[in-house]
Amino acid sequence: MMINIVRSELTKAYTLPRVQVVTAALVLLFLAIQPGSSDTYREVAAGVDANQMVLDAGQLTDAATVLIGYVSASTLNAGLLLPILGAVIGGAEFRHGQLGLSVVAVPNRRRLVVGKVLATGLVASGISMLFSLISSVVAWFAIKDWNPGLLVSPNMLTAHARLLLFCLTITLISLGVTLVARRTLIGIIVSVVLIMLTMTQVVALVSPAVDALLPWSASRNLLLQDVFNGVPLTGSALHGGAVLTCWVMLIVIASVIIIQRRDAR
Amino acid sequence: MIEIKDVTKKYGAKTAVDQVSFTAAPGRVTGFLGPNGAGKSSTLRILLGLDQATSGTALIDGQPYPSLTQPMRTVGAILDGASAVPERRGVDHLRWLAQSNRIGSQRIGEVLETVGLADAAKVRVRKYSLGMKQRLGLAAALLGEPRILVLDEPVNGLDPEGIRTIRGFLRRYAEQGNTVLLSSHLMGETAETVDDIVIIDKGRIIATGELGEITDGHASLEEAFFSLTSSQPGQSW
Repeated sequence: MMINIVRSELTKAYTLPRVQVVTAALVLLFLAIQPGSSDTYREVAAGVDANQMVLDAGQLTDAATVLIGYVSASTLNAGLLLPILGAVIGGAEFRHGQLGLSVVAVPNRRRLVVGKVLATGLVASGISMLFSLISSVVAWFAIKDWNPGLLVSPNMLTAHARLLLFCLTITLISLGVTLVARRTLIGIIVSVVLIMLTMTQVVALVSPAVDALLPWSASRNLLLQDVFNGVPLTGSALHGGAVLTCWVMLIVIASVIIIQRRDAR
Repeated sequence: MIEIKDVTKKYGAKTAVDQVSFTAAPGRVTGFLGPNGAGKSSTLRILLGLDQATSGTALIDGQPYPSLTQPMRTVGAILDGASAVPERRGVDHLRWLAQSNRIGSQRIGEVLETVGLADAAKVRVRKYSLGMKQRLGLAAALLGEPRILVLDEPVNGLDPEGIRTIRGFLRRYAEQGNTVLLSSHLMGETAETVDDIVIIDKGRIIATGELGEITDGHASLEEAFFSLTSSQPGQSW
């Protein structure tokens, strides 16, 4: 049954110290940026006028929208490490003949890969929900005298859903690349190159439409619609979410095909 | 019952396994012998669905291994070159394997006791000796209480006591009606364990039969092996 395979893959992941270390680093990084985020939330709350507007980057903007945008931005920053998690989980399969043992235990390779994807997705979702919980607690202390109900508003819950989609897809893309390439390092290098393509704006300068198809640009489009970040976005949030989902589907299909066709070495 | 029928495996122009056919019957220990690089591991990897044969079939009780659901309940395997990840604890290695085949966690303690690793269960595998790693591999093979064991070089790294223990264990396992297929390049050790012999050399089966038939007219299995493979000690050095 698939549930046994997923359970097994979760055990396989979290009994490896390097997975525990990367997870701890992710959480610590997120905690480390919380004091700065808290200051930003306090500034927003302190600057709200009678019309619930706030001056953000020189423009009067809806304060609730601005705050939700900053909560999203803090997770995007910590999420830079999520591809490492996906690469480490995927790459462990190719060390010490692990894949051979995995195929002996689960000879249906499609189910094996799908089980690994689901398990890694659960891990990423758990981290995302932890991020959402932490940022909600930090934000509550910052805005409790202004509008604490904002933290459970439909707009904030939608933002958390977007964060979940971002954490899930960005981790699975890296997992898939690693399963295809069969090496942790290649998974990490590909992820870094994809990040750099977005951060340097090289592709965006040539063609914003193509840039919007890159996973990290799609992540920015998904999460940062309401944040002034100095660099223009290249698509809508819906477009960003669709691009990330397509990346995951394509890379998972490629992983299944390649793991099925190759000898399990 | 294990049935290998006309299995061929090619890597580009090189033929690693060439029209290999043999069976391993229940209630018997079948030794699969050959020098390093003869095609033993490739054949066993094809049997276990790890490598795809270029042609031919390899069946476990009439089915290809990949079609088995919860295969560890039918077949237990030790693979040469596929060991536990060193950073993981022995007990955790067994845990993920057990979970994948819906095997109860109490079975983990039982197999650790069986192979004498109960005290080292929570030690990371990188601290295990070679013999302990082999015993952990055997524990993994026994998790699902399978009726078929496929063991690739299971006594590598074991001390004399460990080798004798494995020998006795495999004999008892077969006497209970189970099937044991044991690959090795250690002639003396194999001769004391097996009922039937399959000898492979350069990818081709060169002899199959009961131990007595193979060694008939030779001083030992080792002598029979060198005679059948027409090789000389030190020839490949």
